[in-house]
Amino acid sequence: MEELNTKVHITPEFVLKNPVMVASGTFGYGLEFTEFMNISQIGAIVVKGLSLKPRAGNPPPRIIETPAGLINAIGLQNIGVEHFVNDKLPELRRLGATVVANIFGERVDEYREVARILDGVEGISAIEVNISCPNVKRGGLKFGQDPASAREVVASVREATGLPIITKLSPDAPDLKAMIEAVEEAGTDAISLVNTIPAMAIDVEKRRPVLSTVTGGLSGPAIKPIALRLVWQAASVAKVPVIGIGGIMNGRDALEFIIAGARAVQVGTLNLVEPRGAMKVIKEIEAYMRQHRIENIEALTGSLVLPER
Amino acid sequence: MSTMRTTESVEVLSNIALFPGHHRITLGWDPLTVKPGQFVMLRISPTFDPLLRRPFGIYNIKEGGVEILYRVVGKGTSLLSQLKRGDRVDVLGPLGNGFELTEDKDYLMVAGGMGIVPFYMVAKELLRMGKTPRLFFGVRKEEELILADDLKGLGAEAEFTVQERDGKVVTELLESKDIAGKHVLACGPEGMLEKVASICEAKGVESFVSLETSMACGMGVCMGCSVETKEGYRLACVDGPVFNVKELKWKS
Repeated sequence: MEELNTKVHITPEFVLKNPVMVASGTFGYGLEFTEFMNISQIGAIVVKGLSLKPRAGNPPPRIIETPAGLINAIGLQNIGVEHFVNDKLPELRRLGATVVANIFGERVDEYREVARILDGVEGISAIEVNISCPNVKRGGLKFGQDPASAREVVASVREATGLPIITKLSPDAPDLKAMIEAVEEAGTDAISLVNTIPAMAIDVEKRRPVLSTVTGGLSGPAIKPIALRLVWQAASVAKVPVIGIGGIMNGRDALEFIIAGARAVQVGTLNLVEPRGAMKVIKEIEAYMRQHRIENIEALTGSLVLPER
Repeated sequence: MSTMRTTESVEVLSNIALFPGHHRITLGWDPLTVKPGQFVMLRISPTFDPLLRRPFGIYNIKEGGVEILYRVVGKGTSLLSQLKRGDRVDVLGPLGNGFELTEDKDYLMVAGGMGIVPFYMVAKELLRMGKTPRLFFGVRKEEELILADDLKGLGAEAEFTVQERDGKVVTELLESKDIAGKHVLACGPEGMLEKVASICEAKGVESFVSLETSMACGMGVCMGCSVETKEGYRLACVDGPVFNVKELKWKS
């Protein structure tokens, strides 16, 4: 059999060496993992969400484990975009990592400003626009539930940068099709979904919410079937490539998303459990390709065979 | 940050009950260096429930193995208690800052219940420095006193209080003593640590506490284990678990 071709095209210029990305908020700024693996072998590292100014995040408790899941309410704690560019990016560049900057703002002009700062910076391959974080009072999910707001955010980022734009969508959007059309019209190059699912847990002894913010976002294997259904639906209407996210814990999970229509996937919660998890997912996808004599991974995207009606 | 972290599957060498609900597991793991007060994250089951690793303080390093004392509190620790010799767990560590010990200081260890865990290695380090380890240890039930046997075996000077027997907790013991010039190192329930902090502040001595928080990754990535300090949030997993109480903002 010929050499496996695991390359995927997000845009004609933005090509990943394999379809496995690591999701924002689960891989720090990438450098935390250098003891465990060669981070240049990951399809792309989506770094922790960056805002214009550093953010402190939410008060504790911020996390609670639920069956096969994790609810978090971190609140986009981050060092700010300039600190990232000055202190983290040079080392990521030196290590040959493919870096996607996830960005966040409370207002449209903040998104634009962060994108402008990142535009033309060497070592940034793309921008992922987070309009779907459930854990912040202003911005975040508010933009991700209303197509008109989402369009405005993406259009402002589009204005500010020539970098490829991935728009990260919420599983909680009332009309996913309208949302996808809106961000496509605004010039997004790809969409990624799903962000975490709004969720909560209650301490019955105290009759209080477990998380300081009352609700948070659920991730992990518990959400995978729901995420898969949304990715499949998104892929059936989207004109741009879809990146599938939600509870991927191994190669077979990733393949489900790819067969459903995802060009690439992001693994998230897995990174918290197994620092080398993304590498394992890549190897398992390659093993599947060999076993099924699939030379080009892109041939698998959307290859789902539906029952005849 | 430590640069010696690894993640690997290791064998359980032994796993014994000390008294009901309290166990000691020995793992066939040979980390390069471990500081007293550091911890590990264990993946106890390859299934997704429990999903996350669980944090455990490192109790002791000995030839060919690392010992961990733990109390059964939930599903993860319950599964851990059922592991037998020859079973495997995945260990990530060593993690966290640990206690900073220097030759020129005089230390006093204050532990409540399972808060004894980091102090066996602290005591060994103090002995290596030529100091006599001193410990105040408070437990609820008499049977828990067994937890200090290893420290006594090292020749540590220890004073005990059993709440059910003596009607006194360890912070009352601390309050009643002259501790001038000491550096207090404390580990135990949060309420106890807060009390230790205020007693030490009133007596004008420095104190350092090892905090326990819920944690997902253990390596500074998820930012789930935030601790409120006077300079904003810090992470228990990489900035701690040991904090100078001067930095901390307590809840009450």
